[in-house]
Amino acid sequence: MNTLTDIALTAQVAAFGSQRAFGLLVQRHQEAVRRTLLRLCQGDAMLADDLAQETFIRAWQGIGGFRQTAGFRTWLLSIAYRVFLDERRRAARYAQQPVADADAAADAPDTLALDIDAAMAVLSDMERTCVTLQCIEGHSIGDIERITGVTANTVKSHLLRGKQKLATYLRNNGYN
Amino acid sequence: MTDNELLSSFFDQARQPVADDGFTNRVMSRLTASSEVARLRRLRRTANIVAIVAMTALAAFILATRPPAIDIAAMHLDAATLVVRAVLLVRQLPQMLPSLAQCVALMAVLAIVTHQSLRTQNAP
Repeated sequence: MNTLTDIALTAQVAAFGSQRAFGLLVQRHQEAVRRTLLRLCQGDAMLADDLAQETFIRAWQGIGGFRQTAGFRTWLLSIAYRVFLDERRRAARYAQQPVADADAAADAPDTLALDIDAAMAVLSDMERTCVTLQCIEGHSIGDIERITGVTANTVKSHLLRGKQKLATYLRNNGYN
Repeated sequence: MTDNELLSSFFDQARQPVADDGFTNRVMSRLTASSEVARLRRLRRTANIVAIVAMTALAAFILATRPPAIDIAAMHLDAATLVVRAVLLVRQLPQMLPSLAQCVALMAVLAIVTHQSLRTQNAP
C-alpha cells in the first residue's frame, strides 16, 4: 500500500474537498473494507456493501478527523467497525444466527464461501472480528487495537480463543 | 499439521479478491447527493438565523421609535401575550421571508430608519 499517496490524497480531500481524490481512495481501499464487513456480516453481501458505502460516506464527512498516527486503511476500518456495531444495535439479527441456511447456500457462488462463513459462525463477534482483521486482512495487534478500541491483551485473548475454536471446527469437519 | 498451519492454509484459500463492480461509482453518487443536501440545510439554517435577527431588529426599532399606531395596539395586550405573539411571528418568518437577500435588505432598511429616528429624537 502506498502510504505516502494516501496521505497526499487525504490532504487534498481535507483541504479542497476533492471528490476526485476521495474517489481514488475509495477505489484503493474498497476491497479491504468490503471483505472485512462481509466476514463480520457472516456472508450477507448486500448488507456488507450497504455498510461499506456508509463507511466511506462517514469517512468523507469526517476526513478532518484522520490524524495520520495510523494508516488510512486502519482509520477506515475503525469507521467500518463502528458502522457494523451501529447496525448490530439497530437490528439483532446477527446474534447466534446460523449462516448455512437454505437461502445462503443457494446464493453462495461456491462451497468455499459457505465454508468460511460456517466456520466463522462458531466464533463470538469479537473473536470473528479479530480473526478476520489478522488472518484475512493481515493487520497487526496494534492496528486491531486501534480499529476495535479494545486493549492489545484483549485482542490477543480473542485471537487465541478464536483460532483454537476454528482449528477444532476445521479438524472436526475434515479440513486438513 | 499444526493449528497455525491449518488456519494459514484455510485463510489463504479464503482470501478472495473483491471486484469493484461499480461500488466506487455508487459511493461517489451517494456522496454527491449527501453533499448537496448538507449544503441546502446550511443555507436554510443561515436564512432562518438572518430572519430571526431581522425580526429582533424590527422589534428593537419599534421599541426605540414607538410609532403611535403600535402604542395604541399595545395598550390592549399584556406582556405575556406580546411575547407569545412575537415568538409565533419569529417561527413563521422563514416562510414569510424566504429570500436571504430580502432579509439582508430589510435589516439594512431598519438600521437606516432606526439611526435616522434616533438622530431626530436626540436632536436639540
